Amino acid sequence: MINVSNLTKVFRTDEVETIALDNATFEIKDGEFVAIMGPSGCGKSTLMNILGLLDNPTEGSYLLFGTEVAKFTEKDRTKFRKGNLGFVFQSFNLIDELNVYENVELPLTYLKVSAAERKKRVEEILHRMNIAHRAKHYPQQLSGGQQQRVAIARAVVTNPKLILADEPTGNLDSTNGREVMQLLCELNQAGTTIVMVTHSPKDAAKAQRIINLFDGKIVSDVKNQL
Amino acid sequence: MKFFKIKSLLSVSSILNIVGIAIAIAAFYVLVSIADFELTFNKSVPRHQDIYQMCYSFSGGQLSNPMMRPLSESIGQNFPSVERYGCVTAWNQYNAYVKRDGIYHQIEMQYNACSRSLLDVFGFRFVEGDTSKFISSKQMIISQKMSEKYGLKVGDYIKSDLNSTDEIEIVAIYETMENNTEFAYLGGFCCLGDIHINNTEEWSYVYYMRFVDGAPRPEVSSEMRETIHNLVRTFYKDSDVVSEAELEKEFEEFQLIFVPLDDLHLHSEISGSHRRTDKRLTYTLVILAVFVILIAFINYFNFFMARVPQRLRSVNTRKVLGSSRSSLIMGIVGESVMFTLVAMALSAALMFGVMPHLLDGVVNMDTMVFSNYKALTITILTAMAAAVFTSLYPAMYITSIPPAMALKGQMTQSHDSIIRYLLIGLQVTASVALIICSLFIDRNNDFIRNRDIGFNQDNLISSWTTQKIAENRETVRSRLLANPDITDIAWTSQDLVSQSRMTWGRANIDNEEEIFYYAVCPVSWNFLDFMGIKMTDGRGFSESDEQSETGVIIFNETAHRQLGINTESRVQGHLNNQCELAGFCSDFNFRPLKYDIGNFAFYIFGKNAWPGTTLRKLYIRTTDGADVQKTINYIYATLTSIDPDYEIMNPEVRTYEQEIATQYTIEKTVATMITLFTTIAIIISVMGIFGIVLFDTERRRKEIGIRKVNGATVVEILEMFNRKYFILTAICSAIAIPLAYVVVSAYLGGFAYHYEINAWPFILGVLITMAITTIVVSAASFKAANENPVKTLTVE
Repeated sequence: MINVSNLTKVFRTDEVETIALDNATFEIKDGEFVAIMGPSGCGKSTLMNILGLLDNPTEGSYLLFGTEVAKFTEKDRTKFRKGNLGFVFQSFNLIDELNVYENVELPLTYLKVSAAERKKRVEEILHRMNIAHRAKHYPQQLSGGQQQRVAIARAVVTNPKLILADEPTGNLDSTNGREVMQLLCELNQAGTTIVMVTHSPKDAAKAQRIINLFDGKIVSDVKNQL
Repeated sequence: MKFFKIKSLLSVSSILNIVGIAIAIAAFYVLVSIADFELTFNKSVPRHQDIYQMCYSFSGGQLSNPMMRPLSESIGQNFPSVERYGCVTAWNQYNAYVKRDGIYHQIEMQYNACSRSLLDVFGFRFVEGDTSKFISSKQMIISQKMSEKYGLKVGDYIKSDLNSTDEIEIVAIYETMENNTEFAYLGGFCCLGDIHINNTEEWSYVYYMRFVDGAPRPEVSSEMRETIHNLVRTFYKDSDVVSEAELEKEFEEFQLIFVPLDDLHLHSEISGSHRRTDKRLTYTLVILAVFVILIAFINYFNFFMARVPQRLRSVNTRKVLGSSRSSLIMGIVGESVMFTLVAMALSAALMFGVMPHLLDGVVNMDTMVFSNYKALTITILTAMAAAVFTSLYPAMYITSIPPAMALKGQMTQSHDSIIRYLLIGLQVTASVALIICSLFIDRNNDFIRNRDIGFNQDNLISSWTTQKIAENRETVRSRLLANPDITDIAWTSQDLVSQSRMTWGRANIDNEEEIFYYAVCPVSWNFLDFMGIKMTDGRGFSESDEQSETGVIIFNETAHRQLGINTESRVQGHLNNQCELAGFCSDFNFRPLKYDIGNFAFYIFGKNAWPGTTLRKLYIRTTDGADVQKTINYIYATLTSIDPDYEIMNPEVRTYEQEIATQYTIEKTVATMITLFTTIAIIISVMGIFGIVLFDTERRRKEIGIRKVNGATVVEILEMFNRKYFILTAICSAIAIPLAYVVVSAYLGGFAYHYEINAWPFILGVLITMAITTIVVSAASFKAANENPVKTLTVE
């Protein structure tokens, strides 16, 4: 599914050049659950942004679903992301002005899915995430755990092949964090590939494989003993 | 990082607001000055409220003001309620020559002739000379301004006609009047003396009266009407030209109307040569002034409200640290006042640097705008009041929120947003309506320019000439036609299309009780052919008509129809006996298109013309493709060679387009002012919308990022921002269209012939607004829509 080789990302300003990612090479297969770990500033989020087609690498190759996407334009990346990738963020990134239902419906709207089909799929996923009773509520009216469940519902409503989760439990208490990890595991068991950035060894332990980064370099890539 | 970005964006929005308010303040000051100039016109005349001009109409028709001079004596003897009265000639003199080093030089001065008593009516104040010498037509008084301009002194002499030996002595110099007074444009007055003092036939004098009790009592009007009636009756007592029955019939339709001096300039319908404006234009300017300042401060209010979420935390932190609510409110209002002061400084630069160019040829900035301290005070006070009011509500709102809620960020924006969008809606509604009105005014002006008004307007050039030139028509013809670019010439004594026309009331010889009223235009025999005006009945003028004993007349079709006359009818001519009715010609618009085509006649005086009725207006037809400027130069040189005084007279040789344009100066002013200030209003609205959208996109950067991550394209993001404003514009258009319809109907209703109301200007107005809104919203949100979501989603 993902084949990355010599991926490098350099941020340049007038005064400083920072190598955020330095010749990263790895492969992620369909159905895998991979955790990316490392200290702050090691390049985890940069890697996630590139994997999620939110940013381009400075150098290197990135094959996603067999397509070289490293040199894609913003327009191409947007097109390629649609329906293929789902995102879960630490800060949930729900739209405050939209209610739970509308937030989850959002990616389907951009995929031009019919209203009837959208309704069916949103209701189905809200039930699956056990959040249907909050469909008319706004994000500010939900707990952190509920908000993250909505964010996961939104990420999976298009049935993406790949979910990228950037510290999904970072803003949650342990109970809610556990619930969210449980949901991600269930999704993975259902066949969705998941790449998750985390600081938590406990959460990383749920993944099948852990890639460790340090100063932009992959320092280890190990399979987890589940 | 984000703090600095917001700060820099606020600076852009702040600059937009400051510029918007500066433009609005400059526009407001100009508009208020012009409106003040018009609304306080004549108010500087002592006891202006007691002074009236005497006007009259027949059968409720157009108001006229020239009267006969014998009325003076009767007023003095019979009307104690008239404290002072005086008259001026209805037409100005433009020719003035002053002797310098033994040679007469023309000076640029319009002057009039007035009775001595007029000086008392208007309370002239003299700085030099002796007004007791102002007793005959050989004396004149001049303004201090004219004295300073040309170095004229008491005892200097002026000539009005170089061919005459008569000289006029300057006997006194009066204090220059305020710019906005009835006679401010005149450089001086000759004394009427006893001219026409007993002549009841010469209706050429405009009367002003100052009443003891202010407004004239109703009986004064009827008694004065009766006095005029008696004067005319006495004059015609032994006349066999007009019967008593005819006179009685005429006076049945005669209405005397006293127009207050304060309102005189607003009655553009009164014929005469004094300065006139339009009441609707003045009030339109006041409305525009209020609107322009309103939209600028709506922008400012919206901008202030948009910043409320950002300010909540800082304001409430201060509150928690012990600041009182009143001091916080004062601080916010003070900031607004400072903001407006900066805008005022910028507006001063706009006023002197830009406005004079924009209003060049439409408004005299020196006399109407600059140095109007009253308008300046109104502008400053209005701007300050607006600054306080627009910041007061946000200040009260921000400081009313409990700190506990504000600091936790538990505030929603729904309430503020509704107010903001309602106010933007108000701007958009007004913008749509203004654009539609501008389009209709423009279309109507185009209609006026291009309408077939019944004669051949192509390749026409005209010029006023001197008496000597007018008396040498054959020489002029042969000399001008020697130029291959000139095909023909013709003569008249008036502009062919003019609001102000000579009107005759002449008896129907076949029915003594009937008086025919019609406008008359004396012409040369070839004039109708020259103008391409077709005969519909009878014969056209022939060369031999110029030798007629009684005069020859050709009526238009309207007169044919309305007066019920035919080629057999017997009508009076200029000598009050029967003239020859040659026939009838097709109708044409002899007045501007505001007026319906009325009864009209072309007239040839023949051998026994009235004195001073020489046909001095020359029309020249050129070939297609002739070099107009070259031909004008040729005409000027040719006429000067025939009479060197022509050069001294320095008349304007102009194309017909230029001549007709003088008949539509008010319309041109309205169109220019409406278009200019509509554009200003739209620019300010656009700046406001741009600022708000810019701010909105900044506030929603994260949302944009989320949407993009979830599949939204740039176009879809732009659509999202545009959708709201598109719906807003659609709703506003639905409100604006009927409003514009009412305004446009009222405006076009002032024209007898006008552009027909149709859907296109409405559709175009809405489309223009939508296009502007779409461009502005897209431009303001383009950067945010194209931003990489990584930047917004990863910053916490």
